[in-house]
Amino acid sequence: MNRYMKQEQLEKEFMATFDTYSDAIFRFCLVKVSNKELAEDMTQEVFTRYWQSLRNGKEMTNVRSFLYTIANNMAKDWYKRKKADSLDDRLDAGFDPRDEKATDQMQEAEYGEVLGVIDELEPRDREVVVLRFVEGLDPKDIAEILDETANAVSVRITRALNKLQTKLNV
Amino acid sequence: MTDKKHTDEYFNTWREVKLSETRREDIKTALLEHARFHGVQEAAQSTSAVSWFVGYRRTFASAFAVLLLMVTTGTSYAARGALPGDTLYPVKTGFNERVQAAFAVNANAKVAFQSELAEKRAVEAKALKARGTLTQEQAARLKAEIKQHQMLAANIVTTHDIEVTSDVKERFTLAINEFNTAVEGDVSLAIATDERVANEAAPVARTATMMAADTRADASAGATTMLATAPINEEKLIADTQTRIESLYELLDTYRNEIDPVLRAKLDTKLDAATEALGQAKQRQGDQARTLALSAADDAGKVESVLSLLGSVEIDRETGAITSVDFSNPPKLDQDRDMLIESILNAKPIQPNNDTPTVEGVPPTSVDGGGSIELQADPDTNMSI
Repeated sequence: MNRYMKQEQLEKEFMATFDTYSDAIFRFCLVKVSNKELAEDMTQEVFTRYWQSLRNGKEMTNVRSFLYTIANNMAKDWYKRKKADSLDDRLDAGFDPRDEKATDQMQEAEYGEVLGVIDELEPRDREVVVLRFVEGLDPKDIAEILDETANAVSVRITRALNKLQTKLNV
Repeated sequence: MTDKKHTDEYFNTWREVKLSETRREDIKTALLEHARFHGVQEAAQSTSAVSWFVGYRRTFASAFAVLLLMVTTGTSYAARGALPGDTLYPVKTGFNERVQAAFAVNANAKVAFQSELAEKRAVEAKALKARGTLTQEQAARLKAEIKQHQMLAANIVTTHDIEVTSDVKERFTLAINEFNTAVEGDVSLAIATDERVANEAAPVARTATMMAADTRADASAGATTMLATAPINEEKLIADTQTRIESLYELLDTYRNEIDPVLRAKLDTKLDAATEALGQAKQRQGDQARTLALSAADDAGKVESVLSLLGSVEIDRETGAITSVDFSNPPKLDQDRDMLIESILNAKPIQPNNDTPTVEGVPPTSVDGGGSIELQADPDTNMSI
C-alpha cells in the first residue's frame, strides 16, 4: 500500500474512532476537570495523541481503553499544574475556591444537573461511577485505565454507587 | 420512586452530555488538519533507529543549525555563564558542551575541544574564587575534570597519531596555571606541572597513563566526581525547572493568538511531558530524580528554543526562564522555520551523562499511549506525543 492510501485509510479510521468515542471521552474529561471548555480542549488533545500512535503504527488492542488512558494521564497532569498554580497565593489574593466552583457551575448551567450531583462525590469516586454506569465499562478495564487493581476499583464502584443513591434520594 | 430508577435516570441524563455540534465540527476539522500535516510519511521516517539515523545524516546541515541554535538560545544560552553549584551548570556542561563536542568532527578538533573544556573549568574555578564561593569539593571536581580533559585529549592524540598544535598546548598550560592560581595556597589541589599533558616533551601516551593512574587515585580518594555523577542540587534544579515550565505555560497562554494553534498544542504537550517528568522527579531521589528533572529541563528547553525561533526573547538570567517574546521581531533564519521547529521538538533528548542514562528502576510513567514522557533516547517514541 502506498503512503497516500495508507494515509487515507488511517484518516478514515481516525475519524471513525473520533465519531464513536469523542462524546464518551468528553464526558470523562468533564467529570475529571468539571470545566466544559477545558474538557473540550482535552478531548481534542486526546485524539491528537491518538493520531500520533495511529500513524506510528502502534498496536492498539483496545482503542477505547487507550483513549481513556490518555485522557486520564492528561487530567493527572492538569491537576499537577493546577496545584502548581500556588493555591496559597490565590488565597492570599482573596480567592475563595468555593466562589470558583460556583462560577464554574454557573457556566455549566446546561450540565448543572448532572455535574451538581456528581460533584458531591469524591473526585476518585466520580470517575468510576461514570466509567462503570454511564459508559458501561468492566471493572477490569476501568482498573487498567486508572492504573489500579480491579479489586480496588470494584470496592470504589460499590461505595460510590451507594453514596450516589443516597444523594439522589435525599 | 426506587433508588434504582433515580440512578438509572441520572445515568441516562449523563449519556446526553455531549460535545456541541459546532465544537465537534471544529475539533474534527482541527484533527483532520493535524493528521494531514503530520501524515504517514513522517511517521515512516522514524520507524527504526537506522532510518532515523540515515535521516539524521541526510539532514545533518539543518540538525547542526538547530543544535547550534539550541546552544545559543534560551536556557542553553543562559546556562553559558553558569558556574558549579548554579542550577544551570548541568545544562552548560551536560547539554551545551556535549552538543558542541558532537560537532568536533576530526581528531584535531576533538583535542582542541578538550583543551577548551579544560580552560573553561579553570576559568570557572577562577570565577568561583573571585566570587568567594570556591569550595574544596568544587575545586577537587574541577581539577578532576581538567585532568579528565587532558586524558581524553591524550587518548585522542595517541589513537589518531596526530601532532598536537601549539594552540592546544598553550590552552592546557593556561588552564592549569589559571586553576592553580585559583586554588592558591592549597598544594593538595594544585595541578602539578608534571601532570601537564600535550605540552611536555614526554611522550603523550606515557603522560596519559600517568594521568589515568592519577585519576584512579583521585577516585579512590573520593575526589573524582566526574560530570556523570557530579552532585547537582536536585531540589534547586527541580524548583527552577518548575518555574521555567510555569512561566512557559503562562507565555503560551499570553501569546495564544500569536502562535499557531497546532504548534501551541505541541508545545503544550512538551510542557505536559516536562510537568510529568518533574512530578516524578519530586518523588524520587539521586540519579533518578536528576535524570527526570533534566528530562523535564530538556523539554522546557525545547519549548524555549522554539519560542526563541518565533520572536526575540527576554531571558531571566537567574532562572533561565523566558520572560517575554517579541513576535514582531523574529530572528532571521536561512532555513525553513517550521522545519527547524519540528526538528527541535523531535530532537533526541541529550543525556547529561556520558554513560547510559540511569533510568533502571524507574517504572514506566503510564500505560501505553498515555505516556507523555520521553526518557529514553528512542527515536521511535521520540515523536512529540
